[in-house]
Amino acid sequence: MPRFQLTARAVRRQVLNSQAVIIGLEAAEIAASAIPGQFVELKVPGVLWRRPMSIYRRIGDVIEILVAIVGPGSRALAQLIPGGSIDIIGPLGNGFPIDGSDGDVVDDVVVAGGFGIAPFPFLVQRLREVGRTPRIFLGGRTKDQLFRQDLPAERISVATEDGSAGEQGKVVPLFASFADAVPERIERMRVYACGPTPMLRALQHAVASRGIRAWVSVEREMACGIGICQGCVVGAAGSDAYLLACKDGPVFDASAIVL
Amino acid sequence: MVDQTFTLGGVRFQNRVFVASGTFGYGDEVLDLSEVGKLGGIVTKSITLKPRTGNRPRRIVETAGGMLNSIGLANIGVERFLERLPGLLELGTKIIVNIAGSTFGEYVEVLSRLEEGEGIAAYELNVSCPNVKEGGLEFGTDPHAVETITKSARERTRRPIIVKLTPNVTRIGETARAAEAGGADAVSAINTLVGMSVNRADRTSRLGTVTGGLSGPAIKPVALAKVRECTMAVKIPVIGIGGITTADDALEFIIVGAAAVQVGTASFAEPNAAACIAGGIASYCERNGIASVEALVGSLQIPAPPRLQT
Repeated sequence: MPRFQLTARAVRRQVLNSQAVIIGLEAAEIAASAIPGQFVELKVPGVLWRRPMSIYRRIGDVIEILVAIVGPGSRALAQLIPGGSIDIIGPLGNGFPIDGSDGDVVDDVVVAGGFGIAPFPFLVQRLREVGRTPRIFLGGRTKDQLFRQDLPAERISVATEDGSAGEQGKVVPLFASFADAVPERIERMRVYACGPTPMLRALQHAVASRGIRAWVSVEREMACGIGICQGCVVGAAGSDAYLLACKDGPVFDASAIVL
Repeated sequence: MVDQTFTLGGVRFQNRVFVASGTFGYGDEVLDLSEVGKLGGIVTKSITLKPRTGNRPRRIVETAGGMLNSIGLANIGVERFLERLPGLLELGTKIIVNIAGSTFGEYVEVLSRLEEGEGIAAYELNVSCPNVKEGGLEFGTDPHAVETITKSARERTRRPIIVKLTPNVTRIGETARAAEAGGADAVSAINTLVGMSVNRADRTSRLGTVTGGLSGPAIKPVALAKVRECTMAVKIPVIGIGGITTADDALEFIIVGAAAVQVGTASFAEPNAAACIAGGIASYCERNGIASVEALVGSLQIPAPPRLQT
């Protein structure tokens, strides 16, 4: 798959709250070739490593990223204002598998926790282009951790741990109760999930015990993001081998990895 | 045209900038993002006798001005490497194979297998990996062991041998001398410094192996001093490594006495860093009317203190 290194111009900056900013970057080659679930590596001033960010959404030549402000790198990145520019490499990683099936054949389901929403507006966009509208389950500790503004409102179910929005509780049980209510659809269900590791573990268990096919996007620290540092390892299920989140992932069959 | 060439054990390299072992894969992973044809050469990942899956995560931590790693010599093993070698020889630069092992015998066995492969420009013996419990570092901290390993490698190959030294010793000059006595054509220094990072919140070490190796700009001043110590201890060339990110960094090592340099951690954020550094050294020489990089090697000035006028 082609990768590009280019200087991208920031064209948009939307502050969602004190911890979350969406930045739009003009990166035609990357936008043209990216698939949902892939990421870009951004050279942020003041830190050693690039910062990997999922492609949040694609609008023409522009790719958007959702920046969670968690440390010095993301804080600097969140300061990027329209007109400024940044060196980026991408698209990287494998992305979610979307075959040509139409909406009658498969039942697409997105399960996201907090900032795990990052790859999904792009995925939903792509699925809708081929006539598939996924059902979306969103979770967060509080309503401030739900980022739903770029998703179709009518198919979203929400869970928050403090009950400040939607059902009180966690998102995986919310998804599981949905799945249990429609046993006839289990076979054609395809789940795409991203979120904190405990959530992904719970999801692995929920889908394995019900025989549901699922793919999870994992987040790992990466020194390079391009397959040379060997740092971003994920344990392979049923062997002592390690997979690389940057190259073999970040999207994995939920049954293929140990989290 | 500035003469950037560098000759080691009869092998001529087009310039003095290499990518360091473990920071550029086997050499063919990032051809789309780097100009490998502009490098003096590629030092491969450490190759061991059998494939290694590497250490348990977490394997990397970003620190102030640097990073810790505990990869644990994850590699495909010498047999699969030999299958991959013909492709690497097409890259338009020289291939230096880094060899690691847990025992004396393993180094020798890997080297003997590699002797059957054609086109390898040189070997670098990794006697200094801090992340492999059973071997590596222990060899590298014991001058006698370094001399013995180098000698047994020397007996088996006519190809140039570089011995990569650890800074985690009291006197790196002694291990440099041991490598020289064993018949090494050059030493490279430094490998990573042992370090750790602690997560106060849950009182754990961030690395799966508790300690790891520190690299990046944070170690450059240490590396410069260790390279200087090596150059004072041995007559063979010293290849400088440690936090080199720009041509200016590389020039500092050369001025201190490094005959060549390796670029490591910088390639992670900038895959073309080493090629840019090679170009930057040439421009520096042109701008300053220096005909050959050789003229800069070891040109460090240590001015005498001013005398008081009486």
